[in-house]
Amino acid sequence: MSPMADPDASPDPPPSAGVLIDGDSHLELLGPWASPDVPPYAATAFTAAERRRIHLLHYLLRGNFVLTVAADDEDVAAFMDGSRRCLDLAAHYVRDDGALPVPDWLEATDAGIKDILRPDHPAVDDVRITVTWDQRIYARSRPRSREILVSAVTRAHLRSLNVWFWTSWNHAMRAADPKDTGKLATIRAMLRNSEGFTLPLLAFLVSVYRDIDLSRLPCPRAWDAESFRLASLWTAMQTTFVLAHEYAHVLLHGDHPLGSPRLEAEADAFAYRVLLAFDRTGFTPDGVRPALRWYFRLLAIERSVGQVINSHPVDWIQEDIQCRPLAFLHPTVGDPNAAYFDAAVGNAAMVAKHFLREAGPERIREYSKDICAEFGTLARPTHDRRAE
Amino acid sequence: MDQSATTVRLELELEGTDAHLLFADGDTWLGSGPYAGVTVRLLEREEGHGFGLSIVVTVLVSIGVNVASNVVADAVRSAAGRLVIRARGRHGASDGSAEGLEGLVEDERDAAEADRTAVPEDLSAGPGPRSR
Repeated sequence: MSPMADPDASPDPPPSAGVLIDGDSHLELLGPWASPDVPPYAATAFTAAERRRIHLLHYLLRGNFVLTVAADDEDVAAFMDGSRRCLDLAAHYVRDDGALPVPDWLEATDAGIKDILRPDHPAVDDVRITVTWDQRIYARSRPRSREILVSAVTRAHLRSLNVWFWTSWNHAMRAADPKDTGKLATIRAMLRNSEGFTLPLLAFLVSVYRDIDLSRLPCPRAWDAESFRLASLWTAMQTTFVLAHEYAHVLLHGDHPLGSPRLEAEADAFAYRVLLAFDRTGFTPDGVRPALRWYFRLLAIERSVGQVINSHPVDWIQEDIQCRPLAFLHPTVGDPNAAYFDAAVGNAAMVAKHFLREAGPERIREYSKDICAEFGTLARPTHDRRAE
Repeated sequence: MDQSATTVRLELELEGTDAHLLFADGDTWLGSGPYAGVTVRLLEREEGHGFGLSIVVTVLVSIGVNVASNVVADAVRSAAGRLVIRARGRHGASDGSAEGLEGLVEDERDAAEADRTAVPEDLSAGPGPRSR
């Protein structure tokens, strides 16, 4: 039976070949899955601000389930049924108290980092994590109040972008010319379909700068279970790195002024050391390097896209972002095959960037408008005080 | 400050981390030319570091009579001098697009003017009608 067809089924059903469960997502929020106390969602019962929160939470809850490219019609129908139930649950949580719970993945990451840092930084236990509703790939530290803010969307967006990378990678490997036996044959195959690779990424990057209804964003399909495992591992590496970076600011930089490149480099090096000490299989230098390479390259592309669609002067180099990982990733090349893969990941990001640069600002702005039209925007939550 | 002006308070998330480059001529930006009638005053920079490579500032925007909200939005973007990623007011929030900011400014103005009309009539000399 499909894992999501029966609302009375366990909230933690076994995966089929076509639908996978994301164990790092928000399974803890599926508890009332079969509860009759969670009625169907009725949009008219909520203010605009509440609807925005419901749709964002729906995006997170829906992310507990991932379709693979092998999914058949029954899997897709089950996914859609499950997605609708996630919307009911999202409304239930927002109606209940409106607070965004700290997800399990963030609690676990935070606990793991604290364990590593505690011997040298006993004050680490004073640091508090707060989850925000910001529609951004975003973390922020407030050293004076010993607080780190993390947007709930951060992990969900990164996971989708990573899933898309790994699916595209596998697809390109399959499509590569068998006579093309070079190490970067897969990249050459990706280049032949650079539009197909880039445009799905663009939807997520544009959503950072436009009030797109996250509830309607596409759901990238995983190639298979192993590909999804790798995408999840990358996501865990990236979110751990970001959180550890903010810990560095809180613990080391409380009295320093904002924005110094030296402090950012210190925080990056600190986070890299935490990452390699983290208790999770696969967190090795050769494993971490491509995950962070991809992350920083995406950040740079995201920033360029934001400049284009807001009609600002565009910096396609983004030196401040691109150069950051070099300081801590470059000297640690181990296995040559891993180094080749790392280079290939960097090149994959270049495929997307090259496509966008060739397309030009006008075309990118058209893409952005198409994305907003296709996935919809939510009304601003204005004048809620009147509604109340 | 012009007593007939409307003021709205906005929190802006801006690209970059070099907050000292903001409002290079001081903490107040005086609009001229197409932005005449708009003044943007920097109230505070949020403490902290952001991995999203952004800074958060709070500004007070003074808007003269008959200045259209799309002009105000452009003036805010011009005063910031860098990419506005997100904006938030007392009663709403928006993305950093021209349309998003214009809508937010419009709503904040409406709310500010509603607050004004709530005072006794002899003190409620509000602004005249504004163009769009």
